Amino acid sequence: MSDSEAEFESADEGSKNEDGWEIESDFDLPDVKSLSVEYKPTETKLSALTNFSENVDTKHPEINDACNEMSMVQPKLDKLDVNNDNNTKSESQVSEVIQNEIKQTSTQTTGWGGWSSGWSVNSLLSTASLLTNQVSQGLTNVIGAPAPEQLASVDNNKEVKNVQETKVNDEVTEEPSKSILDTNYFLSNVSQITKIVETTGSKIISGGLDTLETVGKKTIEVLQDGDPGLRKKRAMFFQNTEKINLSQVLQEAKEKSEVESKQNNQVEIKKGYAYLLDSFQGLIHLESLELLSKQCQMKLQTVLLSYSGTQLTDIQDKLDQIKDLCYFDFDDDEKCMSIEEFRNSLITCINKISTDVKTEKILRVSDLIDEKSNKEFDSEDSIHNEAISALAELTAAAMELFYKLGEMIMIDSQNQLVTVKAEQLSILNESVCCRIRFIANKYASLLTNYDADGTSNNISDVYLESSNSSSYIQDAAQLLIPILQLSVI
Amino acid sequence: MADLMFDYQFRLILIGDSTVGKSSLLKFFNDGKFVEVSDPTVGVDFFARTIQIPSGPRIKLQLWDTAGQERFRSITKSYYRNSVGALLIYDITKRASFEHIPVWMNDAKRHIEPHRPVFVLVGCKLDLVNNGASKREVTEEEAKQFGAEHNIFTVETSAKTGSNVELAFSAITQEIYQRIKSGEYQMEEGWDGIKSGYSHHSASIDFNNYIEAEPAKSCC
Repeated sequence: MSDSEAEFESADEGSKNEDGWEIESDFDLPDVKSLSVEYKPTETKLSALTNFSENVDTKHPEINDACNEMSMVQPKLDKLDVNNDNNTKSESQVSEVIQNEIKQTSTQTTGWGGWSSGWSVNSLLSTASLLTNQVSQGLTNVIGAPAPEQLASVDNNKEVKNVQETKVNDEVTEEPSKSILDTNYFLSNVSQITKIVETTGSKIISGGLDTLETVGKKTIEVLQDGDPGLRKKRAMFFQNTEKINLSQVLQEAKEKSEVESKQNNQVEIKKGYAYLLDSFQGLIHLESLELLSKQCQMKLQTVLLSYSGTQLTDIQDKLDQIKDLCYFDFDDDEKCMSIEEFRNSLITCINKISTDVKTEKILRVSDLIDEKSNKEFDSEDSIHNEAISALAELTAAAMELFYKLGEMIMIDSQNQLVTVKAEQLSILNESVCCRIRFIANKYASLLTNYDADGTSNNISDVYLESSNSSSYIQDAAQLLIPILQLSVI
Repeated sequence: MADLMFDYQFRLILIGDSTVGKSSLLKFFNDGKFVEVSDPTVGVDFFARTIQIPSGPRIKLQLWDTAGQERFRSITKSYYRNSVGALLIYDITKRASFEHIPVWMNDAKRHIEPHRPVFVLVGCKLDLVNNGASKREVTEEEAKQFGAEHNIFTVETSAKTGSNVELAFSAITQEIYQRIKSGEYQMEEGWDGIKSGYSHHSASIDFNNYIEAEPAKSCC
């Protein structure tokens, strides 16, 4: 590492992109979500508004009955008009005032059945305009869509002013006959008001619809920004449907056996295969390999999404080729490997994949197992236990080896052909499985010397764990595929 | 080798420049032996040891020994997230390794978020300074000052003589345990920094065993 801190940090930045965990944060989904949530309430309010004009029309017959009360409302409406004369007040403020007046009147009087529903539409309207205000403010801030108020306000201001003028004239003439119930006047006045409300309403509706359209378009735009066809997002959502990790299965098996033996009041917990595998650090290495593999898989998907057409099919062919090279069908052959064969095969393979990976540990484990299997055993159970332990230890060592290989392939700068690596990996995988089979066979033959009741059980147990070991090893080797695949892109 | 019975499992990560002595420190803590020749760590290595907090729980430490080499950093970073604590390691005889400590610390903080990791600052190769083989480039006071500033425990160790090795690990373990007791740390699904151990969640079974054992004694 360089002594200079600047270099240290810049390199740190450089490697940031390679970090799979940071890929997740590239998607701006939360923002988009909040947007879509924001415009929803507006939509429902607006749909309520479309019923508005009908509502008002049907209420007309009841207006006569309400004339008395209207005279009480009139001064308040006048006050409203005065407010309107001050051009400094904005429209939303006016609607707020209206709302307040409505609240007051509706709490004071109880017999306004027909009207109160009309007013509630009005209050709905004002809340709707407030809401659209908020949304459009948010929009102008975020994506620059024009506010519906702005769209509607130009015409609206003119209309409101005209109405005010006529109203002021009317009031002058009507003032002397205060107590007389001039139905015609009130009717015309009310219909004028409803007209204003109607036009304002329709302006807001059309403005709101425009905004909605803009929001919708912009949302899709944002979602598809740098992600045509939403492929990345789809990949994001579907990758969670993966199967359970092997390490989790093994971990659970281990815990289950621990609890069982504890329940059976055994002083010493029976050292089952899963427990042994964990104590030989097999699980932690497998878990780490899964972590790397997942990271590479995610990166791989992201990279693939940036390709299309023939380029994409070319790359997919390449990736499939690597996958096929890594695959081998172990069940088909009955090959076994003695200690020497295993050593030679392993060293050749590893050297062809990455020279930095150390083979000492797995070879030492292999030697030790061989040594142990040649000693004298005093009982059948001790052979059985030794066999299970040997299988678990070699499997754990293989996990570690695969994990180290994964790490080295990830950062490898050696210009070794990936196809060669994949081939060697397949041979390596086979070698380890052959060695496992050899060990199982050896212990099984030791067990056959005994002829007790449990012998056949013990033998099948050894073979069972041997086949388990093989499948764990093969699964672990599969985890290297995304790592290899990523190195060709 | 880690014991089976433990109440908690903590995941700790060792970070610092390459060749400061992370692996040697860990090997001594794990085996009680000093390895004269040590290969550079490839990626991340794992160790586990169970320690007993005095009149407290048994704690399994899962120790992640990271490679200090630059080329491994994209890999080692993946392991930060699931750690509850980090040992910041520097070489007493190498000034630059101490100066990089804030960088390592911020890196860990950033990746362990939203969890607040426990740090300890560990100086290595104390024996080289004591026997005069190398010149000290980082004073104890400087390290202490850094520790006081960031409110972290500091210690100088030697993986050759074993001096203070145990202390470095027990200090970080104690601090994590304190934070569990105070409620700052909780076990979380999907985070492996702290896990409860086997003996912890099967306390009720222990109780049953105890009841059964009693009458047997009175019989005889």
